[in-house]
Amino acid sequence: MHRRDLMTGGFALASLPAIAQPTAPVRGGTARIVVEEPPILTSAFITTMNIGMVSSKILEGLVSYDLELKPVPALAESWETSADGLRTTFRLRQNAKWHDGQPFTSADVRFTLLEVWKKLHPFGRAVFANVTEVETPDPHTVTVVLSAPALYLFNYINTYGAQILPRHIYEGTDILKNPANSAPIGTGPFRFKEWTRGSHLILERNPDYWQAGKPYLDGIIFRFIPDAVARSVALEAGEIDVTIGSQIPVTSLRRFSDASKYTINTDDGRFLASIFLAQINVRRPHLGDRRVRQALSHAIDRAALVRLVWQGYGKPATGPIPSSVAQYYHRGNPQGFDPRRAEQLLDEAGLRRGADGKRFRINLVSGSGNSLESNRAGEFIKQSFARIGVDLELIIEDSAAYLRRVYTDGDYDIMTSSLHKLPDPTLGVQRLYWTQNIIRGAPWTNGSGYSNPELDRIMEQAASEGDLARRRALVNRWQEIVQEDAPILDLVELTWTTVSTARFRKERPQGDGMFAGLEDAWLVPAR
Amino acid sequence: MSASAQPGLLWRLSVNRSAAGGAVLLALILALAIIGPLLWPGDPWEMAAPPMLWPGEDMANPLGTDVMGRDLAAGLVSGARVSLMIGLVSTLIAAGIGTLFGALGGFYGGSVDAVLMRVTELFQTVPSFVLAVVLVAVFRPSVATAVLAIGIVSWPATARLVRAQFLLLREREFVLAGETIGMGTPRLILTQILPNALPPVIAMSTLTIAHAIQTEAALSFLGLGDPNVMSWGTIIGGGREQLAEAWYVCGLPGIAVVVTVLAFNLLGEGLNDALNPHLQRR
Repeated sequence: MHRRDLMTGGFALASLPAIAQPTAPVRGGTARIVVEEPPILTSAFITTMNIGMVSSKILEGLVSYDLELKPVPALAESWETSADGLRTTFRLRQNAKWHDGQPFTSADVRFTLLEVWKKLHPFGRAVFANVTEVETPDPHTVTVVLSAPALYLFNYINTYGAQILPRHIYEGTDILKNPANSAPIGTGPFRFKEWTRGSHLILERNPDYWQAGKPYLDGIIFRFIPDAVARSVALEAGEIDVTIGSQIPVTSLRRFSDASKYTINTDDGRFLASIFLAQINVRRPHLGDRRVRQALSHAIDRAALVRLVWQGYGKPATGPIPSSVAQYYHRGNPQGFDPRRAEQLLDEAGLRRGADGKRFRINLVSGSGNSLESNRAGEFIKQSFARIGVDLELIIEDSAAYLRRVYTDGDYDIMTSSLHKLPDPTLGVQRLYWTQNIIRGAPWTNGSGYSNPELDRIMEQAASEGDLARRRALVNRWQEIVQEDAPILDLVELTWTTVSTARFRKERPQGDGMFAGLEDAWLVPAR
Repeated sequence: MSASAQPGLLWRLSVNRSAAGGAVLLALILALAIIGPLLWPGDPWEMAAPPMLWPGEDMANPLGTDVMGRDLAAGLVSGARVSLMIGLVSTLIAAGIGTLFGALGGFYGGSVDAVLMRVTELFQTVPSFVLAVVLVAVFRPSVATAVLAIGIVSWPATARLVRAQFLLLREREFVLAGETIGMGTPRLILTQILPNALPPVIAMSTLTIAHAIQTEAALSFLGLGDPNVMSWGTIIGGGREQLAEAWYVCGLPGIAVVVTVLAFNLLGEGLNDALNPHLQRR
């Protein structure tokens, strides 16, 4: 053995803190988790993220997602799709029980799919649009019958996207007003115990959970701390163990960079595939010209934006689908930072610099409810545009006025927003570009007014394409077209952070970790 | 009368320690606002340096940088101009409205006075900062709305003061004499009573400027500032989330606000003493 090896080996051992050594899961203990307080505790018909972060511990879905966003069995043990893509059969867990002791069966899945997801869930309506019948040949088999193939279906059936509700509690009631929405009865690793509004929420171990020996934790206490500084302090003081959903501002994360004391998980939100973007109103003067939109795209240094505003927590975006959605991401030909090219394009478009060095003036609207980073990014974009002679006025409206201005009145030049692109472009991306989705007054639709019949055709084909390779080819072409036309400037692939003490561990990394059941989580005992 | 009073007033101010101190501080701040841009040229919004650089860490940015790598020295200088401008303009608005209400109420008395004073009380009973927040939030946050809102919430005190002066002066001989020789009401108010009622208003306005600067900083701190303009409040608001990591981002503009407010307060107090004949005789 060389001396050098000895030395490095010794160094590694010495620097490895005792707590970071692999430890076997420990049973017992209560995790104290900070989330933003949810209004209800059921995600089956609503997409509010903080509801999902809490309800996912109590109620479950058919699958969860790994870091590559591939489905992993949850309440569904296995599944198969027929050759024509029109019939998908799920085999369900045989030993799963509701928290009130009733058995979990295929009837629960059929009921929730047809009566809740398909009718009431904002995305579910699209996900399950092609479902014509749900067959339940036996209590543990469900066959979903489709009118056309729907590959995207597999990308939205976790506990956040398609949460399964107990039929015996919900059938025949007004689902949206059922009291169980606030005191849920699920199949998950933890049972609902108590909710003191404005303060905390307590979950306790489900002793009859279908995964033998789990959960490891005795319970979970969710605490609601509205002030960001107070959250950081509470985590430092050891009053809480975990914060989910970027509850610690990026600028404070360096306080938690000591890996022997804290863990910063940046993978938990991959499933949401969120992108910070600037949408351009193509109906406005100058902005209808593709060259002008490309110039604006070339003006923004996305890498600097990530570094300065997001402190490195994020990635420069290249197109409408973030690179974390590995199945469909295509780099294509991004209109990246190139201020010289930007000026050239504006000159070609006839928008030359005036005597004062300015070419034209536009505005950028953002919502006061948007993140701190989003408003800072506005300041960054203003500086970037100033360098190519475009004068940008920043306007911050309250959330309602912002949505009205963008989606009802169309009274804006550029708007910024952080949007979830989701693991499937048909679900999360098509809505922003589809001509049929130019709907006055409907938020988060095609608000740029962009319309391209060729792209419409490609997106519609991709939705009903049952062959993955052919679908990928269509989605690649789709990404190239919107990069070229630039009605939306995709700027930053956002990272959702889960910051915890290093004592908090989880066996299985998940791409939808924000919505993990945490049956595999434990706390290393304090020494 | 005014020609002979002017040197007297200046002399009285210069021997008044607080007034002299306030004036010197204010002169320094004004100098900073005027010549500062020559010392720190460049756009205060330029994100040129590494973010959250501590003061003194790199002499290219002597006072450090904020969370997005913007030079704090350039920001403070730009903020001085913006904050002083906002203080002055909003105080002019407050003084204008207040003088109008107070003068009419005090001069006419009776039901005119009753109505005007009820309106004044209405504004006085609502906490002024809350009203300012509502006004700025209802209209879009910008320098214009902030100035207007601060002006609108700051006038009642001036109105009360002017009214009291008018009630007092209305019955004085020189006013009655003016009335007797046939002066019209506007002339009576503008040339006879107002000039004599103004000195305390000026003293008070100095304090209003201080309050206006504070209010603007507070509004920006709450995120209700103009995103296109770099004021002290904007810097404080932007640094709020990093208080634990980089307190100086909030601290330096905070000190600037404190010093400026102190300067105006000292000057206002001094003016008040100098202009108050009763105190002077003591």
